[in-house]
Amino acid sequence: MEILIFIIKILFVPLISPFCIGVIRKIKAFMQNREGASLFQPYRDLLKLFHKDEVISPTASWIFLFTPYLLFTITLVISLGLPFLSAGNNLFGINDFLVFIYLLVLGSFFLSLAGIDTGSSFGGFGSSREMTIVALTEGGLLFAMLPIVLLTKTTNISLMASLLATLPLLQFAPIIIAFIAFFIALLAENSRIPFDNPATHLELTMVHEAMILEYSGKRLALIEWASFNKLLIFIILGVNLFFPWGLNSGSLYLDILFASIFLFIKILFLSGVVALIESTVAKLRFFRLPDLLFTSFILGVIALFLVTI
Amino acid sequence: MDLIILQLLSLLGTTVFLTSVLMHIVRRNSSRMTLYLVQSFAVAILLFMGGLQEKSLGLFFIAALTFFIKVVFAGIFFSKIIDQKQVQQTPATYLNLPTTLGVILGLTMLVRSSIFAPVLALFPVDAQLISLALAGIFISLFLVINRHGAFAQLIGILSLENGLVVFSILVGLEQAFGIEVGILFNILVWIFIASALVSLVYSHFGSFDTIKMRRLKD
Repeated sequence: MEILIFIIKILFVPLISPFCIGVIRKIKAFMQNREGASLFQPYRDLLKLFHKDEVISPTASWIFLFTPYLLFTITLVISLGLPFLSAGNNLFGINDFLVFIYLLVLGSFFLSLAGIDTGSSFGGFGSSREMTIVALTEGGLLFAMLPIVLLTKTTNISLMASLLATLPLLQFAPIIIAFIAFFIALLAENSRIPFDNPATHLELTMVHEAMILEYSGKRLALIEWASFNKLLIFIILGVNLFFPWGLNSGSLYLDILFASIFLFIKILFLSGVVALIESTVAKLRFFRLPDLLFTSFILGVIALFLVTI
Repeated sequence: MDLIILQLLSLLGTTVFLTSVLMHIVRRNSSRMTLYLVQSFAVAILLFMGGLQEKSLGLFFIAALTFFIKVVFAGIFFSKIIDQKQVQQTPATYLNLPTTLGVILGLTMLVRSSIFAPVLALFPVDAQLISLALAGIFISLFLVINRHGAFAQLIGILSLENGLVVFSILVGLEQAFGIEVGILFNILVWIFIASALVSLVYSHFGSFDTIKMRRLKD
């Protein structure tokens, strides 16, 4: 049973994440009165990129070549520690919420290095902007998860989710506030509107796209796939850690099926919320982003106070 | 049934608190008005649930009246003011956003401090929600103090009243039917008068910015 859960967990995120992006794009198209591309278009885009040749700058070092593999691997490793299908299997300590946060930071760090590695000015300003956003986001992300750590007295993400599910809803006020903080961090970490527009290549506004501008072919496909995975990881964490109902005990095949279907519905719902926000909110000016990220941090601290005192 | 009501209470109490925090963050008057309408809707549901719990027709009526006055009527009235005056952006705050958020955090900490501990100790089950309601009251009061804009101040006072209603529901301070209707009538009159005052400020000074009223000193 554990091997089956391990296989499902490692395959679920990379297989479902392009579909999740497809859903967000479809909803956004619907909101703009367009028909939009197929829900499976991101799969076709990835396939197309995997079949293309690469152009690599002669000034690029090993960091530029190595980063796409690292990013993709990090998302696979993190997906093993996500709170779904099993409760509390702490494989190599990757279930720890601090490990989760710092693996994400490691990915952002290498992506920023890769952005400046080729000496392109676009990569340089993209990396600079990314580092500013990441530095301000981590506090909010950490403090959004700390109230749950204090409530459940564990740092194991899967255990946090299963223990939180046993709490009465009356004690969920700080969790809802922490979720708002987490959701702001979700948008910032995944370069979504209002922090960044994933569909633009305007030099004045782009952040994530500027860093990966020098990539092409298979490595670009891996980076794109890793960013899809990262969004899905955050969505799963958001729906299963903060609203941990429908998690299975991992004892029966029927339980796994039920938990997977329930998780899928929750993922679609939160993807819809992300799409709705992207369709109704304008991208913020770069110098207003710290305000929003500070809001996330303060909401996290408020939630923490409500839990502790 | 009681458990479901308690759980919904938690959600609605948190909604009221979050909307009062978000009123400080948004810049557009229409967004602030929408937040107020959401907050008032949550208060109306809270009253409706109170009616369900106590099987009181009076409370159902109060809930319906609250919905009509604070959501429907205030929504139409405020939208008209914003559209007629073409004032989407609120004038600036006295404190910048990080400092404002710091003050909001301080107010929430104050509510959880030993100063309010005797009040919260009386209601151990609802202590978290009551502290949120109290924090909501202080945060709304801070909105009135911190904003230059007359419209934002108007919304701040109404949000303060919503916080007081939530607090009184949670601590069981419901009043007699006649008094509750009277309070709602007061709110209705307040919306009329305050809106007229805000409109007068705009027609006289060409802005909702109360800083410009300093000219009255001359």
